Amino acid sequence: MAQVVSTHGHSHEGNGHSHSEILGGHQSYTTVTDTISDVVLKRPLGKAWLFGFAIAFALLMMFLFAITNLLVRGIGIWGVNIPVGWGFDIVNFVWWIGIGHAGTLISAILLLLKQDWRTSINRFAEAMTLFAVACAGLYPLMHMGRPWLFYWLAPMPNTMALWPQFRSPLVFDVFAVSTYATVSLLFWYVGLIPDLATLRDRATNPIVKKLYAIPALGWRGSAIHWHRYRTAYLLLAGIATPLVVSVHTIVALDFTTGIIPGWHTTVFPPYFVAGAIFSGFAMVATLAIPLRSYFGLKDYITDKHLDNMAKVMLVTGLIVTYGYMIEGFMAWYGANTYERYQMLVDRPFGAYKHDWWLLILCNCVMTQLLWFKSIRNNVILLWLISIVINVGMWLERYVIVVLSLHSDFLPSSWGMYHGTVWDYMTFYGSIGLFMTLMFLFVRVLPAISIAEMRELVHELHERDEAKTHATPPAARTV
Amino acid sequence: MSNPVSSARATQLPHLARLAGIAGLGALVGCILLMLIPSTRGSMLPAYLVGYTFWFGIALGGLMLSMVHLLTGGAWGILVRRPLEAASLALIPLAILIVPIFVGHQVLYPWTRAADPYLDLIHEKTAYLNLSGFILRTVIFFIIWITLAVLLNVASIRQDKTTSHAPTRWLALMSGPGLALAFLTATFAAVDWLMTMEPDWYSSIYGAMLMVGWGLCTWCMMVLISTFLRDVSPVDQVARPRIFNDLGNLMLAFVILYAYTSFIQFFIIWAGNLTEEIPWYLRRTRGQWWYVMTALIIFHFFVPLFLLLMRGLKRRPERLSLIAIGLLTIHLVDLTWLIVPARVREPLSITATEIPWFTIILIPLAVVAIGGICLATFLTVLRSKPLLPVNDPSWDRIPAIWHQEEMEREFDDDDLDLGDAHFSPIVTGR
Amino acid sequence: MSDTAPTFAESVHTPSRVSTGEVYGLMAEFIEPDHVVRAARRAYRAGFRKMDGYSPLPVVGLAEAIGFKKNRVATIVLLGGVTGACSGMFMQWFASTVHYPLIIAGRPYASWPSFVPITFELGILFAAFSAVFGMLALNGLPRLYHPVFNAPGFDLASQDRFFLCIEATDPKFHLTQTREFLESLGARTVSVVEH
Repeated sequence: MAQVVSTHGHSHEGNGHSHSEILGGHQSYTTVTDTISDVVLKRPLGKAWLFGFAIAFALLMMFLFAITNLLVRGIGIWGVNIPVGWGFDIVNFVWWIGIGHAGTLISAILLLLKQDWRTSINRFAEAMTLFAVACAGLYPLMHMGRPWLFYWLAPMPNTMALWPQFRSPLVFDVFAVSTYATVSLLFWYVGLIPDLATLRDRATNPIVKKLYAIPALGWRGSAIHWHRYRTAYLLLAGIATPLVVSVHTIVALDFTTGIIPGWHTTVFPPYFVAGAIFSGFAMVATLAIPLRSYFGLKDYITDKHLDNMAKVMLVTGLIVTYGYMIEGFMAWYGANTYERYQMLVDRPFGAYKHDWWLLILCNCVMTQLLWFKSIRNNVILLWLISIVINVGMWLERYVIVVLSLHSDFLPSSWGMYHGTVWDYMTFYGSIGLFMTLMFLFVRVLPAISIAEMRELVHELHERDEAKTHATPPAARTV
Repeated sequence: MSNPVSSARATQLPHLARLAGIAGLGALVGCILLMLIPSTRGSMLPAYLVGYTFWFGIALGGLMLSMVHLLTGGAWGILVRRPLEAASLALIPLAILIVPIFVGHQVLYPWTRAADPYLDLIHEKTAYLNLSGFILRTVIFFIIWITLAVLLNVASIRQDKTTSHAPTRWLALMSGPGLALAFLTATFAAVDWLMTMEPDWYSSIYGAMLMVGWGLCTWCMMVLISTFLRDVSPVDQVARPRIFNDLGNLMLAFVILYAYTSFIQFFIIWAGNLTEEIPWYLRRTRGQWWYVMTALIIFHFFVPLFLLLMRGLKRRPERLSLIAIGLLTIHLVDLTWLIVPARVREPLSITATEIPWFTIILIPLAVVAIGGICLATFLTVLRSKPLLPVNDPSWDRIPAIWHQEEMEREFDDDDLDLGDAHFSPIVTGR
Repeated sequence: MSDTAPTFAESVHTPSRVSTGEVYGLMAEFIEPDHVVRAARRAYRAGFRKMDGYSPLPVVGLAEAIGFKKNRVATIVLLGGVTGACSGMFMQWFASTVHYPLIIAGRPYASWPSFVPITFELGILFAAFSAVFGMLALNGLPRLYHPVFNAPGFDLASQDRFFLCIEATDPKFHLTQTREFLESLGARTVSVVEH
């Protein structure tokens, strides 16, 4: 108790963001509004945008072709067989759902954690969530073989009075994914309402004005409306946080509830959630890096943002690595013959050993590069690593789905699985769907939340004021 | 700066440390005596393990959460960083206090017994389940943890004494790998000390689940110590309602996480229903233990969940402390539920449905014994350093809290003086 | 009879419906968020109750300054979430034990552990719907027409300006005195808002 700590005007360069770290240049409510809305309202279609859109659209057409063929001929055109009944469709489903999770993490969890750097990336991360969930949702539908009977999944008795089997994780999935898609859409739309009002008020073309006016719902920025709006938005964030965890947990339960070797392990849910965030942040980085340079948004998506995203990737990558280690250890420690064979022999040394080693290289080894600040701050390297992580996380799901099924309990029923050309067309085609939606989104809606950027400008200003004016409270007397 | 009450609180610290030390040593002598008597040995050792796990968790939580703060920052760290660091040094007496568990291994760990019905089931695991490996691993873990704790505390003192950024940078640099290392080693500590009591059973989330529970206890303890010191200068500058609110939210997050990990482990094992996994739950959900399990669901999840959702409770240190005491108690019950039913004679048995009440009675004794010694260390370390980390970068966050409080006060007693200088018209470009 | 009842055309053109200068209120424009909060607080102190602030970002304290107290959104969300969770649990229990009991994997009919995920999801779904539609309903949105949009320069309320509107329905409202009062609060401009 010898020292009395003086704390007046203490300031360090460290974790606290300074004005320039998360918001470059000199920004005001006006400049923020102008810069972001002009991307949508004033900027002409660029050659690069048209070129990218053309590629994405071509892939989307390939997707339609592949789906049409699937509907005409059935899932026999895919590589799935007995014993590997879950192929690319489930791998892609889990991969896309996982990518979607980063959007919710950025928009909801980082909001609750008061991480102000989220503001400039949350809008397009949420859009990414929505489009990724759209891609994900298509796969189980196609996987059913007769997608026109999808309503059999709805919670209502059929003509024989039979209900969906509520004890099955596959039915949990129906509820989880549809709830997730709905809540993500609501969250995204609620966030958009004030920005749609801004675009309505700034648009000069009367038709464009009307088009923005309708979804803006007559928003007029009333103080009372804002008050309820903030409450609703924060509560949505609070709701979305456990939701995002539950969704990938339920995806993990699809596997763990089965007693197939390599699937039935209790650490699956948390490391699936971490893996989802891992791949999702990698996708955000993959998209944000070209986006910010093309649209000139480097003042808003700064190097600090990329550094933080890289750190999140490092942490979640380490959790995923921990998951691999502990499931491997428990397979050995549990001393179950089938688990030991699957985890310690078949995966690293079996028929699919290349996939497994590549997965370890992508997810566990390459991620370690992110420990170094110089690598995190190198935009090109970071972009390449983010792509490597996306590949690695796809491989992870491939290894889990295919390898456990191809060699389970009975060696006489072991078999091999390989995707056919139709599997690959459907996979790349869904990337086309995702990219097409993304390209359209950045043209017609503000890719950064204008209202929240104004708030950020206000908060940073307040914080600067607080630093110079605030004094510690006098010691209380009881 | 200091008023009579706060200086009284401050001078109480050494007195309390002495008191805790005496109580702890006294109870420890009692514990050891009961371990030496053959007829009570079988009850004392599990009780001792419960108490040990409880306090070990708080010490390890101190180590891990202070490294979390060094990585993430946050205003809450200014208030609790010193208590967290002090808690981490309790790992030193804990390294000695584990010796009774080594000595009593035959009571706790069936795989160390020469003739045991378990042995048939675990001959595949002898590479891991052998006494020398067990002791060696524990010694290595403690070397790692104590090294990290000492490095942390030393660098922290250096950070206080210098204006250079070198110690700050070193602390941030060591925390990343240190946290990863601590997480990994603590997982295996949980496996070794607790999971191997039933050597046929395994669960890969177990280590993470235990750590979340330890983290929860650490937050509760931090709330208690911060409430105790909140009027002491200079702690009163940062012991603000907003920071207690943050601590309450962290408690809430860990309550939810703990429920999540526990439920997930239960659900997967319940759904799989395998012979080598399900008896672990049958032993804990039948007979009298059923009531314990139900109480845990209610008082370890639903009640704290709803209480901690209320802002009014989180912003008042006294009320938050009551919740913290409740959570610490129920977590002790939870550890009892995890550890005590493990002592069954038959492998794969589901018959242990009776609560061994004599063991339960001995748990408070073990908690006082280990807790007294840990608290004495904790309080001694705490008062040897300034109560706040003077040069922590997170000080940046504190003025904003003071500013908000000023604004709130200003709002309460509003000014009616018109003609304010703020209202001069501003010409803009528009 | 027909000469006393108004015709359709007359009823449409009754004075209250057309913008013939019927005053909705007075709109004061501010540059900074702090200024509008202070102005609103003083207007409230001066006895005005029928007023509203308009801003392009949520201004902390503005709603409270104009006397807004009851924010029912959280209650609605809680009720929605509890309703969703209860109906989720009830649906699964009813389907599995009453309507079509079916033994699966030797589990009891009412296998509560496996009902937890769907109960949780439906709680979340209903809570989210309650948050969004509750908020919109309380705010009276969507709304096709509102008089404040007639205020000159009000399009800046969604961009970079802050407004305070004292409405004509307030008992203390007086066209010239209230205008002077608003000007004394440091408003950049004060304009009449017509219906």
